[in-house]
Amino acid sequence: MFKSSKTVNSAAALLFIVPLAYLIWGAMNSQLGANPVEKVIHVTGNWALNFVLIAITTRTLCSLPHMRRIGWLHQVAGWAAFFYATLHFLAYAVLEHALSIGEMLDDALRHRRIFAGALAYIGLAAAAVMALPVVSHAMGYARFRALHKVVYPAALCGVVHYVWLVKKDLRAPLIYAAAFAALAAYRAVMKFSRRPV
Amino acid sequence: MPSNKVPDDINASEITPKEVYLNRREFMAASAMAAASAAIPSLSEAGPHGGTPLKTAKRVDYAASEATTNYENAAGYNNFYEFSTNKEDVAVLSKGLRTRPWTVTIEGLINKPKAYDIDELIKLFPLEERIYRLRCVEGWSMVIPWVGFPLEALIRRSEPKTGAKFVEFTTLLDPAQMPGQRREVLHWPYVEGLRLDEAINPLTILSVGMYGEVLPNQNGAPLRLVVPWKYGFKYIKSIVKIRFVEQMPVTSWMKAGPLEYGFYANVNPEVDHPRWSQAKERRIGEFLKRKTLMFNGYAEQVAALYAGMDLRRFF
Repeated sequence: MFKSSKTVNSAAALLFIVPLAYLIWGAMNSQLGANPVEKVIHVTGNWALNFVLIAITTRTLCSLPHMRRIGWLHQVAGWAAFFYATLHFLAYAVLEHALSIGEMLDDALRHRRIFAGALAYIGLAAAAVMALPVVSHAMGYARFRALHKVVYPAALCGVVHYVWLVKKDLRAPLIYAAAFAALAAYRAVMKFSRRPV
Repeated sequence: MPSNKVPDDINASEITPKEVYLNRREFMAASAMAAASAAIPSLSEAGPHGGTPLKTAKRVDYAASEATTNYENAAGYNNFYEFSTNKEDVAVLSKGLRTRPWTVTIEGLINKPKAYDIDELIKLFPLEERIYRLRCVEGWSMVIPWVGFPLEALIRRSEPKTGAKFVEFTTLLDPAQMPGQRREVLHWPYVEGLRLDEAINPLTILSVGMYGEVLPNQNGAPLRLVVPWKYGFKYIKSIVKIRFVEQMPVTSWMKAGPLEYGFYANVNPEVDHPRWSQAKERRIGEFLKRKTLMFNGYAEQVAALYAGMDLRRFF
């Protein structure tokens, strides 16, 4: 059902750049609203989380019969998640703290929201390093598979980081929380029922 | 804690200067005309931002000549949960709010309770332009030229009784006009409060306009509170009731998050929100953050109100 050709795949993979393109276009045309810095931080954070969830979803789907062909998608989504998480972190580091490491550490240690975000990013960064071909080959497949699951706690920290951001209206972050819970529950059930996931 | 009683002696500095007093006649005539033209929108002459222009008796800059925020940003980035929790959607969603006729009821522990028609209320006091910094609890700030009158003037007119210690403000409750009220994001109607001595502080105003024109709906038309040394959520919008009470009112945000939002909500860079720092702020229109000032830079005018209080406890 998924006829994949390399061209189609690469074209689809390039879609991950759309949110960044929107931010660049918006910044150049003053279309990012009254608080463009906040918009950059929120859009990059949102898309980091979106791509993490897309990666987990596609990884789950490709374990179903006849779905192996979308395996490449979860890799693209995984790299895109790390890409946007990095932009999110850089925007925070530069625009919120002017790159002061002391200030950032202080922020992370005093505010659980920032702490959760830091944990999420460290987890994603570790997963990204493992996914480099050199590293994953050196690790061996079994170890890679086990350790790469760090994306699950990282995703959870990302969702919590978002829940703790909002003042009162929890609708949007709770949608992410529900999506993550559904995926995690599905995978847990699959594992329990000893079917290959 | 300082006395909550309204002082009955008036400082020389509070006496209306003669030119302002004389201007008042001119102002009364102008506002009568404005009211008349507001009733017939086709005749009203819109200002540069599209609102009815307001005449002010004087202009005082309390923001040390810092640049005022672009009108588009001040009128396009609004926390007004009665319409939406998305700051960029409020302007559109609040377009249909009917601000005339509008009644503001002054009641409670006062000698002169009264239900004022908004235009009648506005005509009672000379309007002033006050340029203030505004600091949102979320960590951003603006500089806004408000048009309004000191709340103190209305309080004196209402003659608080000795038992009155606090002033409680209530926003319109009308889910038909305010779509945000159809969900219980906050406990509706929105309630805010001030200690009586905070309410009569000369910095505290009731605003009816900004940038020289009548307040746009999204900024709290037709009447909102402005307390520049406090976080923005204290600036209650679209007020329909002002009540003088003995007990400290429980505000909407205190109900929503008692550990995060206190009654005082004074801008304080040293007391963080539990989930984020309050040490810095992003001035809308600027790139990097700037330091947040104690009492938003108004310590000279208001610090005495809190002498001896533990500001970590009374946040």
